[in-house]
Amino acid sequence: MHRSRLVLPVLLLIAFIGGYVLYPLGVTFLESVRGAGGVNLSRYLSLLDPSNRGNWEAVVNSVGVSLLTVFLSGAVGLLFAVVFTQVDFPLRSLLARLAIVPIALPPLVGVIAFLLVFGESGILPRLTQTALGLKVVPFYLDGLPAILAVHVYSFYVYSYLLCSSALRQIDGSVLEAAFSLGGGAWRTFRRVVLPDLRPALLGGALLTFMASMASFSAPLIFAGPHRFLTLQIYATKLNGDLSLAAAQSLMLTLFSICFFVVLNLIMGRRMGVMRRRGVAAARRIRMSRPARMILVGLVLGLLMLGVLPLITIGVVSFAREGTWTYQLLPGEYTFDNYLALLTDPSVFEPVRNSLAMAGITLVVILVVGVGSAYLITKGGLRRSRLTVDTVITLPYAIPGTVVAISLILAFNTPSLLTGNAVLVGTFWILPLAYVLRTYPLVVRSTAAACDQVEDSLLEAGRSFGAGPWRVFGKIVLPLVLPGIVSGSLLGMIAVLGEFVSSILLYAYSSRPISVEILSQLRSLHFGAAAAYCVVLLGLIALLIWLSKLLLARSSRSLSF
Amino acid sequence: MTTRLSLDKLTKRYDRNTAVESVSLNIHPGEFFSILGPSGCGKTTLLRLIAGFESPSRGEISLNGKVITQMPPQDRSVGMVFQNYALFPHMTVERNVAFGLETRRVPRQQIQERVRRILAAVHLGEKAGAPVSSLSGGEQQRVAVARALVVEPSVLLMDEPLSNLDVALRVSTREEIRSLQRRIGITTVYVTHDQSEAMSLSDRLAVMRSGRLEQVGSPAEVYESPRSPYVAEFLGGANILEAVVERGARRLYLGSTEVPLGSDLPGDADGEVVIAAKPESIRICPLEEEGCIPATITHKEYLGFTTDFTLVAGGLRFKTSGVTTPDARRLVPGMKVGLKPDWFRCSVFPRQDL
Repeated sequence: MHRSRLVLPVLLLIAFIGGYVLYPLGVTFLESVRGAGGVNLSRYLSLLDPSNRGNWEAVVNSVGVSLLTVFLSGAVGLLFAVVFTQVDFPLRSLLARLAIVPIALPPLVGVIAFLLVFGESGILPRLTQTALGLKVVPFYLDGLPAILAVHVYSFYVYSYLLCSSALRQIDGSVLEAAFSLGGGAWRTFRRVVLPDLRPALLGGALLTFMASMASFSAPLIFAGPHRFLTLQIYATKLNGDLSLAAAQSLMLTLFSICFFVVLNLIMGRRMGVMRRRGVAAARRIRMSRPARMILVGLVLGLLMLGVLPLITIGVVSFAREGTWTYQLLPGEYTFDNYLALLTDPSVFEPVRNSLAMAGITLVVILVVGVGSAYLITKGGLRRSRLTVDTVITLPYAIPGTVVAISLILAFNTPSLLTGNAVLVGTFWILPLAYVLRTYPLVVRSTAAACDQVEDSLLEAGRSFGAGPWRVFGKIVLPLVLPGIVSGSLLGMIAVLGEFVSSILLYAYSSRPISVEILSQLRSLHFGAAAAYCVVLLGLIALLIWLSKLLLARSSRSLSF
Repeated sequence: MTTRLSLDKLTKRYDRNTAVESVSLNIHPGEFFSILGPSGCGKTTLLRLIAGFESPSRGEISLNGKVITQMPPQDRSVGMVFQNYALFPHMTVERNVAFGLETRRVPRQQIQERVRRILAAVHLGEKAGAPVSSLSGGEQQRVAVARALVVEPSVLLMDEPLSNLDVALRVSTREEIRSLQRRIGITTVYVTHDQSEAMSLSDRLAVMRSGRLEQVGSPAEVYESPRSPYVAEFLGGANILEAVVERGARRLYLGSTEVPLGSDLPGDADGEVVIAAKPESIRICPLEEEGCIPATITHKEYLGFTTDFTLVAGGLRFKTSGVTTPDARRLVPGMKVGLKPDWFRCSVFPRQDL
């Protein structure tokens, strides 16, 4: 191929990654070891000092809660996957769709919904209290268990989705062989099915661990006196010690990446997979009736616990301010919280900000994400794909808190990369952070779609006189559109509700919805906070609907 | 508009291995030229060099004397039919065929007319609006041909275009391709590993081996006068026999067997030689017939009209073909018979040619 014409895009990509990914990380590292007369390692030494109880408590809490999250989310995800793929019951496909809702739920919204339902003054504890006529609430979620619960609620979907797709691909004849050899349901599951699910479970564990280590909203609301690594960074930054925040950031990144590498190594040892032959047999594990009922009951119970917070948010969004203090449910209902959004520009401002920043982010991640996916799969960078791929997707493995800190450090002085402006404190640093956090999603999904497009199609295009751009636009783009849409949808969901980086980067005039939700909550305006949550969820639903529409149209014109 | 395609010392090296080694070739205007060789011999790479998907390490490609070696594929005026057809899955038959014309900014009116005409020529007129995935393999193959021809390229390149079709379809499609090519008169380079395909289609063909052209000529020339044991074996499935010839003494040693020799052994190679004897030139005869080589039948393969045999004589294996079944009925494995090669139809090479 004559690749010389694609030199410019490659250079632009290198500049992008170098300038906005590697440079801020480098600056962060330099800042963390900056001393009066040269290199100063004292920050790391003090962090590692065994007598630094606070830091070690944060490490133990972050890693511990993350590991527990991994186990519990894996268990719940596996349970859901088994029930929804192996058992028939009424409304199954509807409920299966309901089960993936948390993936579209911004973490902060999940946290607030949990607070409203399970918190000390939450609906469920009070309901029990009233029903039993007790003086104090008999139970409520707080501290580490609350964080764990929210984590499982927000992250089990990773394991659920991976396990159910693995279960759907399981070779039915292997199951039938196991049964015909006299294995019962439990034995077949443990000895035959579970080993097959190992890659899915490990993949889910990886995503869950990274997400919990980076989790910020849940500890922020529920941690109380307990320390967490992300909270430590936030607190240090608020105290103004950016150098220490830099050191803490790199430590958190290191912990995340270590786990990432270890799990990747475990996953690297793939088991032999045999090709399926002959007729596809029924892919069901035969379970006894009581076993099925217990499992389905368990799943329905968990789903109800999961739906309750969403309903509560909806209800509370109509609460008149100040009418919900000690009552079980808000006393008066009103449309005021929504009307204010329409009539008061300052109330609408966060929504406008989020939409504007999401729009800007979308344009950039489409260009960067699709461009780099094309370059590493079909263009000039395919020979060095592994390296480039790793560097490109690096920001995805870096916690949002760390991305924010590194941007603050890199762009608090004018530089060529920012058009000679100071970005910190402006509107523009937020979309920049959003771009960095989400473009890897577009790269991944688009690259996967590009891999499905055979090279001969591109060659055919070129042999009929089409130049590289025309080949891209007329042949590749229509074929990979589903990949682009699904990647950018995930990106946009993350951007609309983004909180972790935003809370460190926003200025009052550029505050996004998530930051506003928190400040409404802080001033005990539950109704307004809930209304913002509902608006956010509405926007996300709209986005999902739009992308479904787009996919349906593109698949109609797609004949395969 | 017929075009001469010339390759001059064309070479393609990858990091370690050489895929195409100093290939020089003149393909005449309007000629149907096949490149024949086993998989991995470099034939597809050669085709991709001509199409411009690979750039040569050395050498030149020219069309009618105009050097196109460095030209990107889209400017070469070369049409290609891919092994897997490479039809654009998101387009209809019509859109696929129109693609090249649209790229060349042909007026819309003319596009419609030309697409209609070429689809009629490949008998797909009524399928114009169908999505390509709804077509059968043979129909997809014809769309690929139509798509390549509609832009009226100077040269048509075909990369094993029939290998994905079943046997019966392959023969009829082959005839269709040949008559279409004749009618249009387009210079065509056809890559295949199937010798019968190459021989039935081509005006001339080249046998390729590890990146080099082993022999170039008309199918009859190459079949009847192979230039090396390799060509004889690849094209005719010849028995390759190591032998010692003493032309002076009119003797021939085949393994441990001494065979008397008439004056009819072609060529002038003497001493240690390799003889390529086509299966159909070996006759099974009664053991007592004069001048025959005593042999044992080891294997019998019933093919319907004819029956093939494998025999062993003097430690050498012989394959025969073309024995009609009634004659073959009494021949069974284990039987001792005589073997008589038609020496005149054999090819003799010095030993180092192997």
